[in-house]
Amino acid sequence: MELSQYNMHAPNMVCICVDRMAEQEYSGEIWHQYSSVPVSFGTTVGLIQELDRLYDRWDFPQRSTNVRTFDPQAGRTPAEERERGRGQMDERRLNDRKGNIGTFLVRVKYRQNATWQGEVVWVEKNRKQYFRSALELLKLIDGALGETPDMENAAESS
Amino acid sequence: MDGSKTTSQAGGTGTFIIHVRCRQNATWQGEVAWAEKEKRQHFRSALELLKMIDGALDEGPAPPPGAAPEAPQAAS
Repeated sequence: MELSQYNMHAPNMVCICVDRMAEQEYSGEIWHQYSSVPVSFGTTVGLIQELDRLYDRWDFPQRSTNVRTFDPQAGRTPAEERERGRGQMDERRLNDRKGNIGTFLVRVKYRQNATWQGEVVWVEKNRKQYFRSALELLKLIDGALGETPDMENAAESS
Repeated sequence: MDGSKTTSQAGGTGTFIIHVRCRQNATWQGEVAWAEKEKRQHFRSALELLKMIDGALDEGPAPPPGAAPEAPQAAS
């Protein structure tokens, strides 16, 4: 898989390689452009959390809202952690990455309404879809991996 | 619809009562109540709800009344 064929370039683009599905939980790896070592995720919720952590580390895209918590002192990314996230960027780190059951290139363009908006490419089918929320992205991935076949067009139906 | 059956259940690690008031921007908005701490918070997206619940579970449960404070747990 050559990244250049999708004409999608962004500093925060990631490649989600879904390797396993067990008990309705996805697991796999997230590849990004700042490290040769992927970020692993063991659950579907974990995937979303790790992605949000990466976007906070890169501060890209910037949040338009602060994170609400039950504890007003929690939920802020320290400046030191944001600095640590800035390794040397190399788009080629995403080339030829493949998940065992599915591969998705995700570009989050905005973080508005306390969620994400952007585009996702299902690499195996070479199909691109836009998403208006993290929930919608999850539904698109879920539909693509065949768990809920009638959700493949979730972006149009909701 | 009888809500008492819903609110009388309790989870093993944390109990949250979620009221989704509307579904705009392809996501959910509403209120979540953390039963053990008797705290409520509004959420603007499913992502925000997830992070709030995760943050609450990281914080750990409230000790029963009269018990000595627990030692801090290692982060998972």
